[in-house]
Amino acid sequence: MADNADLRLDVQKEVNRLAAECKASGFDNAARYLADNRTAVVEIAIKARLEPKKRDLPSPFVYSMQ
Amino acid sequence: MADEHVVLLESYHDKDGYSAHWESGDRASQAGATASSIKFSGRIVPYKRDWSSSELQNMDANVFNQLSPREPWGFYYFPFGYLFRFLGMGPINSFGCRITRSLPDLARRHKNHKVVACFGGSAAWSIFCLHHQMYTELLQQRLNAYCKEQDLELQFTVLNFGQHGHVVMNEMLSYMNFCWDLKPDIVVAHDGYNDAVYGQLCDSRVLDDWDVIYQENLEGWSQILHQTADIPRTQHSLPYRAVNQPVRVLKSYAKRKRQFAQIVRSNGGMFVWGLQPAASSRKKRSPLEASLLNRNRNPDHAPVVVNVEGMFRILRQSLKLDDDTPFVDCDAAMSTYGPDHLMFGDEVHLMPEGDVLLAGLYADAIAKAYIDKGRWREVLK
Amino acid sequence: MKVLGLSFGFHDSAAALLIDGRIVAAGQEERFTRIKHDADFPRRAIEFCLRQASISMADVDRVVYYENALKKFDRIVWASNLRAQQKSNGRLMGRARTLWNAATKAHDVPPYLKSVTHSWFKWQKFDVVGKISDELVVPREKVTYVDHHDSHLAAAFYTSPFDHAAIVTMDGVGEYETAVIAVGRGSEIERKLAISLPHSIGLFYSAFTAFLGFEVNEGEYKVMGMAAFGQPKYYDEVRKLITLRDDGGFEIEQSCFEFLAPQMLPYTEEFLRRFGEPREPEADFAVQRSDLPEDLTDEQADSVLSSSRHYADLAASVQLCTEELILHLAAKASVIAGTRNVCLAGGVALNSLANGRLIREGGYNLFVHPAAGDAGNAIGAAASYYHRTAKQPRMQGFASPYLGSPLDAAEVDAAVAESGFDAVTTCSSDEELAEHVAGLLADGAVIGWVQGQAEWGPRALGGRSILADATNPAMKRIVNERVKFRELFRPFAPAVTAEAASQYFDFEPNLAAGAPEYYMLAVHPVRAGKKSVVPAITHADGSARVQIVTSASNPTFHALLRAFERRKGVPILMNTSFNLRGEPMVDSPRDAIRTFSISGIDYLVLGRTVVSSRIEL
Repeated sequence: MADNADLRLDVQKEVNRLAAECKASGFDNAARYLADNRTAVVEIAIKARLEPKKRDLPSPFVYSMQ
Repeated sequence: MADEHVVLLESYHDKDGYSAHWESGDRASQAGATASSIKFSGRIVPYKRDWSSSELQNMDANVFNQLSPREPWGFYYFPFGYLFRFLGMGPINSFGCRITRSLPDLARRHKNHKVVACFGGSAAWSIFCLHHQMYTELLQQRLNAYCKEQDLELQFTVLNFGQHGHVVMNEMLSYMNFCWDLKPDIVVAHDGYNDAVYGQLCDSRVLDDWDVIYQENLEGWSQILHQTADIPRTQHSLPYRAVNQPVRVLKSYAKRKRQFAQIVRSNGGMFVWGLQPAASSRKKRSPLEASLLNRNRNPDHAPVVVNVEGMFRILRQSLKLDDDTPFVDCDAAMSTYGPDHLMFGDEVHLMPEGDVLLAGLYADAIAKAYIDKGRWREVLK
Repeated sequence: MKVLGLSFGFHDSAAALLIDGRIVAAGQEERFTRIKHDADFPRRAIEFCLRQASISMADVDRVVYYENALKKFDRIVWASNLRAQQKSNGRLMGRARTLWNAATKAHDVPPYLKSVTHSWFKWQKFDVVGKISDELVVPREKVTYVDHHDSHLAAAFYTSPFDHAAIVTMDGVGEYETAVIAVGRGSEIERKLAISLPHSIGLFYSAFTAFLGFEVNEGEYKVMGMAAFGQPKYYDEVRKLITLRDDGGFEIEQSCFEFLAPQMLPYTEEFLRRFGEPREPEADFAVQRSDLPEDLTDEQADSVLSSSRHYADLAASVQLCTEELILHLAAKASVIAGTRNVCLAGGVALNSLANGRLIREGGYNLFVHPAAGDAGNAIGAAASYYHRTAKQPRMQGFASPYLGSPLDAAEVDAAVAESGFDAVTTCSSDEELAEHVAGLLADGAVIGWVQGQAEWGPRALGGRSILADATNPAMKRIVNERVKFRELFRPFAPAVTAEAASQYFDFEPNLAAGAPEYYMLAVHPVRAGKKSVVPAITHADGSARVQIVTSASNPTFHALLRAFERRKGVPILMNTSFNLRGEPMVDSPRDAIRTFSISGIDYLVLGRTVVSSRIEL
């Protein structure tokens, strides 16, 4: 999944939604953090999303246990 | 292989045990065919540099070399097993073995000239040792020194047929391809690890029904060849999973090795059953060795590698060999050495000091079972 | 009503299924994936629970997660801000201040918070409901959550045999809370007191665990084991760190600890100033010369002995202070609740030395949830929803700890067939099995014993156990050297018939369902005259963590103990968990065979099948 405009938009919406939900639930520390550091948090979130969760097998031209 | 900047082989010291005396930069122009470098992991690795003329000669020595990518390291197609090439650690022949002698010439040797052919995987190839540091070179020196000491007019030549990734079946194929006419007087099978780990990874049906152990990545070659990447392999994700039970794998390994022994004996040789050492035998490690092991550990291998220690223990407790077949337990011997010794560079590959131990163990076994018992007098031509 | 409870994301994932008030199945994910302390989404544990109940996900009414994720994140931000504030007030010292200086200069978001935020987004921890909904393909409306300590409270009380009890939960930290006192009556739980971060018994104990060279959330019971070799010489120093309040609460002095925003170590330079250098992980431990290799010089040996005693004394001091704290909480809870029935949960409830004192000195009727840590919150979450939200009648307490994978005969046969082992015997009856295996044990064999359903919780209770002769003084060394490769100071625990327990151990067995001794959760003294009779399970301080077995609680195991008694005169076996060091307890026959294969165990018993380790190659 490449970093693109759709992903960025998705993540921005998610961060906004999270901040609002935290505020509505009375979790002011989290709400303030997400709102005050929105730009940085969006970058962190995009980077996290782009990281693969599973690793692929190595090239079959490498003998794994040699 | 990663880019290497660290330069000429220097001494191996400082308070952390790493070479402290190095300069960075590309010194390729000053390198020769035998120059090496130390990575800061502590391993000896070759320079990236232009190849020597003998290396280039190998590259065109046969069609499978010509058909392979012209790279200094890799596994390439060969109809019987595969061809592994690793340039820069010293001379190799056209099949990637660290052999400089002419096998046809050796086949015509005098009856007092004895040949020892050593087989195994990358540990037997001695990947962290330069040519003169390989256990096979040291073994040759020790056997010849012993004969001189005993005033025997015997000469030994030791050949290293080790190849990365080899399981016993590959060793047998190499023996049949390259050693049949050579008729080695002694064959050393220095193995165990590759069969133990690959055996746990491969398709249960071929293991259970046929005692076949193969390198699991070859399933990937099949996918490429037949364009069946959509069909999952036995190992389809990381970390690796042990799909076969340890004792079942051991039974297949032992059966194949007995088969190898039978082939060797039928061709006039004495078979030495060697059990290669694994790092799990080292309970007391020096800080440098512990650091190397930690640095070079692959966590994806852990589910299978963790079983090796127990498998080797079962093997040594359960193996029954006849008196004519020396059993050299390098793994058990390794465990007697304490933290003052730098034996392993990773889970299975030995540092030069480890190869010194191997040479001593095999020399003692051969001296006892072959030289002292006068078996060298039996000549089958 | 079918409620699926889940814990995952931080420690010890698990799933539990509650159907009409009965716990039908519960499993910890690590047993299935073979990854110790697996914290990933408990896919396989969920599949097991549904399979066990013969239902599908569509049949489940509610899925309940064990904590409030956003509240937890709020705490993380609060703690990080507090740490930053303290730093700017100059309260941080030394290296901690250097780290924070670097952080605030280079980053808008402090590194700790950045790292947590990254992890939370990567693993979808912010939207747990969404994650569960996606993974299980259920509508979001079906998924809910309860607070962390409410899960613990429910796990502690609703599974107990008590209609009325004091409840104490103690752990590292949930959302904000680290300990709660509550009163349980029928289906109601009423909170009375809560302690919040940074004051935490669990983190306090874990800090010392780390200092003593052990892994946090794994090595805490090693501290208990080591404590037996020491004297509480540092009691005063350690006790200064704790203030017990009259209302039942407590405070931990913070200058020695990093509980708010831990990045590397949970203790500070002030801690090191007071308690010295930390113990090296895997450092040699010995309290007598004969335990050390002969080739050590006298100087080397003295150094090991001296440092071992020092750390053992510290462990003993920490353990004593922790016991006091736990007794303090329990005492207050009991007074508030007006009953001697006390229920415990939260990771600290696994402190079996404290539990033994609660029973013997406190005289409490004690119930400890067998999986008292976060895995148990899978049951707790389901139970909390079932009673407090769904207002259902009081559920049944624990009938048995054997809630995990059953032993399937066909699976056993298939596993044995593919194992490579040839010497296999099948007993025709349970009686024959008991006699046969008792004979092997009496002859000195170490046995892997797999029967029935697997245990719920960290203790092996005769479902997935390694058994050996407790009367053999060499057996502790044999099992350690051949199988477990554990540190010298780790004791092995006994299983004893309930009817004989008080002859050997200094406590009066409470045979009521749910007594901690059924789950091996309390340590008691071995009677003076019996220590030499059962040396393999008598710890250095003369104690043992006892499991009592009745013919009702585990008939097969009970029969084995009786058969062993007929041979050796003692109905006690050494009982340790069936796993090698670093791996979870075995679950399936395949797991058992694999572990058996590479261990030094002599025989593996799977149901009525006995496999010998002897093979020919």
